[in-house]
Amino acid sequence: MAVKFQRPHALCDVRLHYCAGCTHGIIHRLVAEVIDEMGIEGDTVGVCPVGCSVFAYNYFGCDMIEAPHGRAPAVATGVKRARPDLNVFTYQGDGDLAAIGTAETVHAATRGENIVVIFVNNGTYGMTGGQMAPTTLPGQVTTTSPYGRDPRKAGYPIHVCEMLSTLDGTALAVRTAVDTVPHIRETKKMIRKAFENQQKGNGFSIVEILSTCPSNWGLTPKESIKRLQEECMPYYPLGVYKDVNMEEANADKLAMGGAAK
Amino acid sequence: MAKMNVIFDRCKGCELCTTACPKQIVAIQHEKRNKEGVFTAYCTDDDACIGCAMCAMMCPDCAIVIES
Amino acid sequence: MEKVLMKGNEALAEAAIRAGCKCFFGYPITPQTELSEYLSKQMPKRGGVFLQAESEVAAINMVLGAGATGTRVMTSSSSPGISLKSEGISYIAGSDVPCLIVNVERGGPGLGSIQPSQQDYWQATKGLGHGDFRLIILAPNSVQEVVNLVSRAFALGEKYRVPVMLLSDGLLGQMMEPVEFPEISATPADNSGWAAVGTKMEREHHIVNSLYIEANDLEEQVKKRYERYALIEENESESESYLCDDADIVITAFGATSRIAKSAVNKARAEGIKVGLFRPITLWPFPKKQLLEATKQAKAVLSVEMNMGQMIDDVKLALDCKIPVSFYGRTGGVIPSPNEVLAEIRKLNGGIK
Repeated sequence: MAVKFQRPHALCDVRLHYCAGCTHGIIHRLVAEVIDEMGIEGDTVGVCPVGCSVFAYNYFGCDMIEAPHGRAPAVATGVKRARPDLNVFTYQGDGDLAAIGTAETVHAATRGENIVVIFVNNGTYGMTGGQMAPTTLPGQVTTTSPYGRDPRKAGYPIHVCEMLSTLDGTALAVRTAVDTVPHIRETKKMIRKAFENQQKGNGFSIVEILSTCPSNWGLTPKESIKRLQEECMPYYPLGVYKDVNMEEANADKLAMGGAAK
Repeated sequence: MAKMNVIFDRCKGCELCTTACPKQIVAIQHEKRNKEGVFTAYCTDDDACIGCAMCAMMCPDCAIVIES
Repeated sequence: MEKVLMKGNEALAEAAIRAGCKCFFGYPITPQTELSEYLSKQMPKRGGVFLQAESEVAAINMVLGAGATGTRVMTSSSSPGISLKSEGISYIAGSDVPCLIVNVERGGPGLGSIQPSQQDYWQATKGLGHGDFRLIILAPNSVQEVVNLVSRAFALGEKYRVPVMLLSDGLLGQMMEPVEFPEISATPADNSGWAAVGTKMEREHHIVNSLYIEANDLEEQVKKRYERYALIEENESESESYLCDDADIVITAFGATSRIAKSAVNKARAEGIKVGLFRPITLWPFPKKQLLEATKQAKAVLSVEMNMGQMIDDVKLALDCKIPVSFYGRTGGVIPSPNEVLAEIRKLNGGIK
C-alpha cells in the first residue's frame, strides 16, 4: 500500500502545542500543503504573531521570523521589500491582527503590500486565557466580558474582510472556515490563491479563517464546531469579499462585449 | 483496500475525525491511553474504509496517515 | 577627494547609501526631516528601498523584517519617535538583528520642542526598551564625523549582531559643513548562518526570534549576548582627548556640545587656565579607561550637556567619585554658549586655587 495522505513536508514533524481540537493545526497543515504543492518551501519566509500561534516558527519548515504583537504585516513588509524574490506570509490571530495590529494590517493592505496574511479568527485571546477580542460576538461571555460583550460599552466586533475589501491595495479578501472537510478544501484553495497572487505581484491577500477555541469557549471540540456553525458563521458570513482576479476576468468580459456578473 | 493509521502518541483524542468520516467508522477507543494520557481515535472497521482521507483532513494534529 | 558642503542630515543619508544601506523605513518628524527626504529622492535611483511607514512603530518593525534577511537597513527619527520605536528596538536586540537607528535629538519630555537637545542620553545608553540589552551608541560632533561613523555603525552592527544607534541632534542635523566621502566597503558581513532568506531546501530553517519560553533558555541567550557586549566594551570604545595632559580641569562633553566646550577651553587656555576636553565618541560602550587616563592629573571635572545632567552619571561612575564632578547644561532646546561654559570654568578654577 502507498501513503495517500500524511503530514506535508513544510510542516515539521513535531507535536503541536495546541489544545485538543484547536483548529490552528488544520490551518497550519493547509498552509504547509500549499507551500509543498507550489514547491516554494525553500524560498518562503513566514512571520509569526504573538498569541497562541507564537510557536509557529517551530512548526513551519521554512525560515521564520517572530514579530512583536500586531506587527507581523510590518515585519513582512520589511522582508518583502528587502527580498522581493521571497514568498512571505504572516500567520495572525484576531487580537494580533484586528486590535493591536490594526494600523499595520490596514496600511499593509492599502499599500498593496505583496504578502499573504493568514488570519485565524476565533473571537478570543487564547494564549492569555480567553479575554474579549475585537471579534468576540455581542453577548459572548469571556474572562474580560463576564456579563457578555455589550457593544454599547465594549464596541462592536470588527468585520475584517469587509473592511479591507474597501481598500484599493487589497487583491484578495476572503472568509472561510475549517468546520467541515468541504470548507477545509475551500480554505486550502483560497490559501493557494493568495500565494499565487503574491507570485503574480497582485498585492495584499488575506484569508480569514473562522476557527474554534474549545478551551476558552468552555466547549468540547465537537461542540465548538457546532457553535462556529450556529453562532459565528451567521455573524461573519463566509465568502469572497474582494478578488482582483475575478474583477479582471469581469473586465475582460466587458471589454469583449460580454456581460459581467 | 485502504487503511487509516493513527499516530498513537500524536492523537489528542479531540474526536473531530469521528465527525468527518462518511462511513462513520472512526471512533475513540477506551482501552489504552497514549503517553499524553489520551484515549485515541481508531478505525472500527478496516474493511469498510474507503481511504477518502476526510478524517485526516479534519485532524488538527497530522495524527492520521492514510494508505491505499 | 573633493569636499562638498552638506547639511548634517543629508550627509548622513548620503553616507548611508555609500555604506551599502539598501532599505530605509521611516516616519516624518522634525528635526530629522531632510534625512528621509534625501533618501526618498536617492534610494529609488540607486537601487535601494525607501518606504514611509504608517507610524514609527511600523517603521522599526519593517527594519526588523529587512534586517532579519541580512540586508543593510536603517531608520531615522527624533526623540518622541524613538520612544515609539523602543518596542521594536527591544525585539531587534533580542533577535540579534543588526541595523542602524538614527536619533536626531530634540527637546523633551513629551512633544517638547523641535530645537537641538541631548535629552535622550539616558534613553540611548540605558533605556531603549524593556529587557537586558545594549545598543552601540555613536555620538559624532561634526558633519564629517557623522559621515565617517555611518559606515562604522553598519560594520559594528554586523560584527557583533547588535543594533547600532547614531545619536545626532538638531544642531548637527541642520548645520552645513564641508565633507568628503571616503572610499568604504559597502559589502555586508556574512550572514548565511542566521538570516531568514529561504532554506533553498539545503539546510535547517532559520528562526529569527526573541522568545525563549523556558527561563533557563532565555538566561543562556542573554548571557551569550552579554559575552558579546563584553567584547564590545573591550574593543570598541572610542574617545577624543584635547589638551588633557596637563589639565587641572577636564570638561566632558559629547556631540555638538563638545564643539561649544572646545571653544570655551580655547578661551580659558588664552587666560592661562589649564583646562582640557574629553569627548566620548561611543556613549556605549562608555570610554571609561580613556577618561581615567585623561583625568589622572585633574582636580575637577565639569560635564557640559544639553540636558539637566545625564552623561554625568557615567562620568561619576567611571571616576569612582575620586574627582569632584560638577555640571553645566541648558535644556529644552536651548544651546549653551561658549561664554557660559567659560564662566563655569573660571568658577571651578577659582575653587581649585
